[in-house]
Amino acid sequence: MSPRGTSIGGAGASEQAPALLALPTEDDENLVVKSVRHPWRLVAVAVIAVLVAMAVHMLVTNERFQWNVVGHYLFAEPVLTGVLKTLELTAIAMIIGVVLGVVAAIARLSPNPIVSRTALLYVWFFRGTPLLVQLLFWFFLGALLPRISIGIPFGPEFASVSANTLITAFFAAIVGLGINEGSYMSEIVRAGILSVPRGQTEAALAIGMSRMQAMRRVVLPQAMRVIIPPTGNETIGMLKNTSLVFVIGYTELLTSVSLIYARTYETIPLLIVAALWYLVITAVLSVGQHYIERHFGRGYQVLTTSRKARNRLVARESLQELQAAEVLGETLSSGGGHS
Amino acid sequence: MFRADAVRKSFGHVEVLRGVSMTVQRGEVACLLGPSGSGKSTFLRCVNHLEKIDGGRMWVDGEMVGYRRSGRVLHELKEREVARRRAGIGMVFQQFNLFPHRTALENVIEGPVIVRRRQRSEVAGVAMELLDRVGLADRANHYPSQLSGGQQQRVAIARALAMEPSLMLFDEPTSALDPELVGEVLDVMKDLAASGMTMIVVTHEMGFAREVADAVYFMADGVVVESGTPAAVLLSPQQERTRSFLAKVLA
Repeated sequence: MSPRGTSIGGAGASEQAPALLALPTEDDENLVVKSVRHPWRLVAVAVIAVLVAMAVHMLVTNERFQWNVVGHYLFAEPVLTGVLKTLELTAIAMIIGVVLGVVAAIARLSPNPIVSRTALLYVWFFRGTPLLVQLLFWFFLGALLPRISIGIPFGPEFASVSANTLITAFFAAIVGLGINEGSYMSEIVRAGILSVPRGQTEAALAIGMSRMQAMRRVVLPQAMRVIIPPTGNETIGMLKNTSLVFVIGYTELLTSVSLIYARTYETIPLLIVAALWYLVITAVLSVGQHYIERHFGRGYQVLTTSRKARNRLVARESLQELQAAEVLGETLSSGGGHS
Repeated sequence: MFRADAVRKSFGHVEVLRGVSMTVQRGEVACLLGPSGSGKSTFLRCVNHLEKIDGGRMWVDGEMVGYRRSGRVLHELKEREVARRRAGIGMVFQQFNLFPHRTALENVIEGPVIVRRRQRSEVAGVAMELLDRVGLADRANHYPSQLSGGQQQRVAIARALAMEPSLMLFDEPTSALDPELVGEVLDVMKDLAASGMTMIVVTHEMGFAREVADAVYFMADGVVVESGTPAAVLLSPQQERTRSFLAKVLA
C-alpha cells in the first residue's frame, strides 16, 4: 500500500515542480530574507518609554516623596520589628488556615451528612462575614464570654481563665486570621481533592489501604498540584490582610509605620516604606512558590527531564520498536497458520 | 477458593446483577465475557468489596466478602477488616490507575510498605524482581507518564503482585491499550496463569479466553447466560444470546 501511495505523490510533485526547481540561477545563491516588520511594536515601546520616564522623573524630582526619610526609616528598628511580626502573623495564620482548610475539606466530602453540613456551615459563616468584623469580634470576645473554662460540657470545670487575659491582640489576630483563612482554604483543598480521578482512590483501596491512608498517600499529594498555586495567592493575600489587625492595635508592619507617622506627620514616605517591604516579601514568596510547585509537579512534567535524557529515552524506544518490527517480520514470514 | 452465590447488586432502580453464581478453584483462570453493561465489571468490583452487594454471598479463601458470621448473625465488616481482605486480592484496572506522582518502583513498593508496614529496603529487592518478571526492570525509575500504556499496565500487575495476593482480578486490562500493546500485557497474564495464580478476568480478548481460561462465563443483563469450558462456550454455544454475541465479536 504505502510504496504505491508514495510513488503517486512523487509523480504528482514532479509534474508541478519543474517550473520552480528547474531554473536555479546564480541569483538564487544570494537571496536576502526580509522578516515581517512590526512597526506598531516600536510605537508601543516609545509610548511606554515616555510614560516610564515621566514616572521616574516625578519620583526623583518631587521632593514631597522625601526619599531621604524613606531611606532613614526603611531599616529602622521599629519597622524591622513590624516586618518580623507581619511575617510571624502570616506564617501562623496560614498554618492554622491550611490545617483547618484540609480538615474542613475532608469533612465536607465525608459521607456523614452532619459532618459535611457542619463544614459547609463553617465555610458559609466565615467567608460570609467581613474579616475586619471577625477580628474585632474575637478581640472583644471578653464582652460576650467574660470567663473561658475547660471542663466537661455542662459538667464540672477543671480550669477557668478571664477572657481578657487570654485574648490578647496577638491571640485575636492569629485566631481571627487563621479561622477566616481556613474557610477559603477548605474550598481550595476540596477543589484539589476533587481534581484527582476516582480510580486513584480505588487503586489505593484495592491494595488494602484504609480511606485515610489513601487520602494521605495517594490523593492529597496529587491534589497538591492543584492546591499550591491558589494557596500561594492566599499567602500573599494574607501577608497584606495582616495589616487589618491594625484595628485591634497589634503592632505589625503597617501599625508600626502608622505609629511613626502619627508622631512625625511624614505619612507618605512611611507608607512607601511599608509598601516596599510588602513588595519584597511578596517577591520572595513567589520564588518559594515556584520551587514548591516544581516539587509537587514531579511525574507530570516530562519536560523537566533534561533534553539529553529525553533523547536517550527516544533512542532506546525506537530501538525497541525496530526490534519489535523485526520479530513481527519473522513471525509473518514464518507464516503461522493460527488465526 | 472463590464462590459466589446468587449475588445481587442495584444502582438506584437499575438491577445490575440479578443472581450471579460461580465457583473458581485454586489455580484456575475464569474469564467473564459479555456485552458492555452486562454487569461483568460490577461483579468483579464486588469481589474485593469496592461495591457492596445487595443480596447473595461471596467467599474468597473461605472468608465471606464484606461480612463475618457469628451464629445466625452476619456482621458487616469494619473498614480495617475490609482493607485487610482487599490486601490479599490483587486488582488490575482498565485505566491502569498507577500513582502518577510515584515512579514504577515506588508504585510497586507502596502497598507492602504502607499496608503491610514492611521495611522499604527489604521490599525494594522483591519489587525489582517483580518488575523484572513483567519485563520492566530497566524502567524502574520512570514515572507513569514516561511509560507506554502497555508498560503502565504491566507495572500495575507488578504492583498488585507485590501484595502476594491469593486471587487476582483483571477488569478489562487491555481495553484501553493501543492494539499493538495488547500482546505484551496478555503475555504477562499468561505467565501468571501458568505459574498457578487464581485469576478472574473480565475481557474481550477471545483468543486469551480460549487459550488460558479453565472456565468461561458469558454474562448478559446481570445474569450468567452460559458457562463451561472455553471450547464449549466459545465453539459450540448452546444459548442464542451467546451465539449472537460471539457472532458480532468474532466477525
